[in-house]
Amino acid sequence: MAASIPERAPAMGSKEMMTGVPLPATAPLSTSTEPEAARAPVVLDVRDLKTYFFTYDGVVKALDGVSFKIRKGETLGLVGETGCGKSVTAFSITRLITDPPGRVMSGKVLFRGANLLWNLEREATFKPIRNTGRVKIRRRFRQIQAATERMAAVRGSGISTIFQEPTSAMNPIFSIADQIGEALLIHRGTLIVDALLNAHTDDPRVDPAIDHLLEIARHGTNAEVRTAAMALGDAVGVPSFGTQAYYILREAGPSASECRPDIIRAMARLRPSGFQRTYLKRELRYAELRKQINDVFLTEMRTGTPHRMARASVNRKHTSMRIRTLYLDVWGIRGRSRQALKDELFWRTVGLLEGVAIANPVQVSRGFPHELSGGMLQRVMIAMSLSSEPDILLADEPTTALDVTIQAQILELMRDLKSRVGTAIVLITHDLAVIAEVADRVCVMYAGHIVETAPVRDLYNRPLHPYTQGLLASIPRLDQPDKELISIPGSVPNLITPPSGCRFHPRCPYAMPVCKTTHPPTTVEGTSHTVACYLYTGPVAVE
Amino acid sequence: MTAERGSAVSPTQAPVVVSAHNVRKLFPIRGGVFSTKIGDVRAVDGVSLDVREGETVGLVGESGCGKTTVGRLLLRLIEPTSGHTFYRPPEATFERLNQIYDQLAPSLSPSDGVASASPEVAKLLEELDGIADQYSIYRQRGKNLAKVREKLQIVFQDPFSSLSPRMLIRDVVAEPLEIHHVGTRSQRYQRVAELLQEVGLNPEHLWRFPHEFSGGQRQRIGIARALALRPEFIVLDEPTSALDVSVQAQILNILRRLQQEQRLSYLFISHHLSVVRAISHSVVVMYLGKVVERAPTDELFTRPLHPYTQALLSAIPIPDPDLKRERIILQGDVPSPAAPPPGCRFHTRCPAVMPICSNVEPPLIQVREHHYVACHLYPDTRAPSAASAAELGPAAGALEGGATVPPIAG
Repeated sequence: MAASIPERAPAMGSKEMMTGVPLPATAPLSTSTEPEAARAPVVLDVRDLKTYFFTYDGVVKALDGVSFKIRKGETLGLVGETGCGKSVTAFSITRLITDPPGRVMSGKVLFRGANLLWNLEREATFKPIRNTGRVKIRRRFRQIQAATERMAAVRGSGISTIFQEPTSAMNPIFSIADQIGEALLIHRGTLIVDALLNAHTDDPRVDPAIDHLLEIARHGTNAEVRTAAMALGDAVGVPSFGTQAYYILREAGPSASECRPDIIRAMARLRPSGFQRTYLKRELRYAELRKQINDVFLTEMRTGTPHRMARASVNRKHTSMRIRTLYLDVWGIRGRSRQALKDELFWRTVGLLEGVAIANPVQVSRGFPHELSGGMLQRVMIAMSLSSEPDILLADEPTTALDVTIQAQILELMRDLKSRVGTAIVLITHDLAVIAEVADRVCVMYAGHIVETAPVRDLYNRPLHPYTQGLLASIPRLDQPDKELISIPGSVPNLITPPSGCRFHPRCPYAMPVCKTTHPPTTVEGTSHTVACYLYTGPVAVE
Repeated sequence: MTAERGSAVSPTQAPVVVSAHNVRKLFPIRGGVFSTKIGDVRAVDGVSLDVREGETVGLVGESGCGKTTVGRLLLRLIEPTSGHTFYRPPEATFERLNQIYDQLAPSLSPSDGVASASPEVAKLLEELDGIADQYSIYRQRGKNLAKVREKLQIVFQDPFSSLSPRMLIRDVVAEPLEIHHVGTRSQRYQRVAELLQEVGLNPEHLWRFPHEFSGGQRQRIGIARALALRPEFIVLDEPTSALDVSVQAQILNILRRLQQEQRLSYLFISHHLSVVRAISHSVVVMYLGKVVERAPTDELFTRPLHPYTQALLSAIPIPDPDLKRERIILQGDVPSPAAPPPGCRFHTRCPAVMPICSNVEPPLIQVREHHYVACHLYPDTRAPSAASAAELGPAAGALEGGATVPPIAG
């Protein structure tokens, strides 16, 4: 098999170079084979991750040593069949595995130098029960709690997740604005509250800005009105006020030029009353405290030594509790003192929803999850995940539940965000076609292992692992209607008693005796193309 | 209009197995204090399609467009509001049916059956009634219906909820045989073993329960159950959408093989266009309860005419990173079928929308051989009355002339 692949040394800069046909080891690295992303800093480094589920039938080894890296601004596709551990990988990274039955057993998840699994050894002890194949687990809850608390420093602001089912990921009893507003307050609280407290409605630039806006509204295009509205927002010092002014004008329609009183009235929210200022200042203090604590947590995880942070932990708990009650208590004086902040969060939400191409963001913000379609909700989820401007976005089958036309919208949006914000995306899907559209690099997973990693063109033009070849041969293609569909015989193995050696060998057409006994090492075949299969004899990859 | 259909024969000259004409299904919306009817969901609004022997017709569209409802109506699993589905009409009758519907087309209002009741129309309706009594599955009762039902089967979308968890596989597959009193018990079980063999399962699987199988295996059991009564027509309601690609290929290959061996006809319902292209001979595209385009598979995929079909095709990702295509991104979502937009139902999202689209509903017209489309971009060159007059000869011409119905705008 390996010999059948011609080893050509392509001319520099030719198409072969672009598609990543392997270079001789001595060839100098060409810039064309290494896209910019390959030189960008690594934002997430997952090493030898193992996650097991302890069930009554036995231990399910869902992840059995998964390693990969993501660089800034890169989209990594994670592809494989149902039950191969794609979602478990995402959940293990953010530590969202339900425990019991699942536990991350070992490995490292390095995020900006901090190991998110820093406390793993202390969290639980395992004792096998004789003659049963089962394990007795003793969990240390305070240690688990400490680890969970520290994850708050990473979740959302560092690593954000889009879940597969948008309908079940949203809270049905809060409006869209309340839910996105909560995320905004938690992750960008200092910025938002500070801007609100320091709004300068008396600025000399404000009046001319309003005049200019109304002038434009009389005969300008939508885009011009928006620019003018944003200029007003800048003059006031609260960008969301620009959004609000824009929508006031839009709602007024033809009479937009007479909207001055409406805008002046709306500006009242930027002059909080004494009660409201007191409340906002307290909120600012909490937001700052949260930020400090998160910084301490991150340093702690970086150094790997847990601090005795009793006081901080208590404060943290207190602040998170307050956020939770913010939206429940809407009546009475306390409710009114929060109104300024709630308005601000509402208009920020509207701005965010605009960013994900929702046509009527004001109505959608006021609405509840059940009022929206799957595609809309998925966009709301994306807006929410991006509200904190994360370094990494974990998208777990973001388009599987959606129709193709909506899927095209969402993929377009993700591509746009990647180029605009520079977020690194981990795209988890079973759809190889989606991966081909969006991803830069692909990891193919099978039964808890990564069997092949390659740049996207390389993987589709020259799949190495028999499993990848099988997957590609089995998809019907629109551009090749007469293609014969070749299926992979059998199905994904039971992970309680996985096949010995290479886990793919019972289904593999090229299985050799060695495959049944030992697991193949991951070898390097060409530029940044690695594969775990005995058919290939390249140098063993180093972590 | 909705009843408009081509009288031209399908590419294959095989006899028609199932032919739906202007089938409509409205689900009532109930509300208020006494749960009175406050509106209708127009799930299927005048759909016509033919399936010939040994042919696979693909039915595609977004979720909520009424694909599944059409599948169920063709089997009479739900009762239609109006319209007919004919089972095995003789070729002559089928031709006559098409003529009748062509002539009735202008007088069938989209909302509630026949609008004008001129004597000529009444005569046609009477003739239609006669044919329907004989061949429409919606008019059959008792033993006749049971006989038809044997020949029409379905494979459901979700293999996890379509098999009873309390029944052995042997009983699951033997159930249709028992209901229709086929053979003795031992003969039935013999047949079950054969069926499992046919779909690639072992006799040892007879004694297991559904939870012991993977999704792909369960779908095979579902297929075996559908095949038990030696049907002629099977509705495949998204049979592979719950499965992985590698397993999907297995199921598609089984379906193809069975079709060749037993000359089965399929209605393949799917939102996955690449799968439809791989398995169907002709494709029907639906949008909000209406057929917007119908053509042989190759024709549809190489020369889509309706803007919706074009957008749908361009939205499908192709597993080849080197292939970058111009993409039509549709804005917004599918409108609610409870309050469909007036005129062309696609006009709210259409990139090529014209003023006429929001007022007049485009009829499904033939623009190329076997290629039908419902869109104002393609003018109806064939004046409906003239065309049918030519086909029907002098008698029909006289009938047409006497009719007071105006020709369709478009």
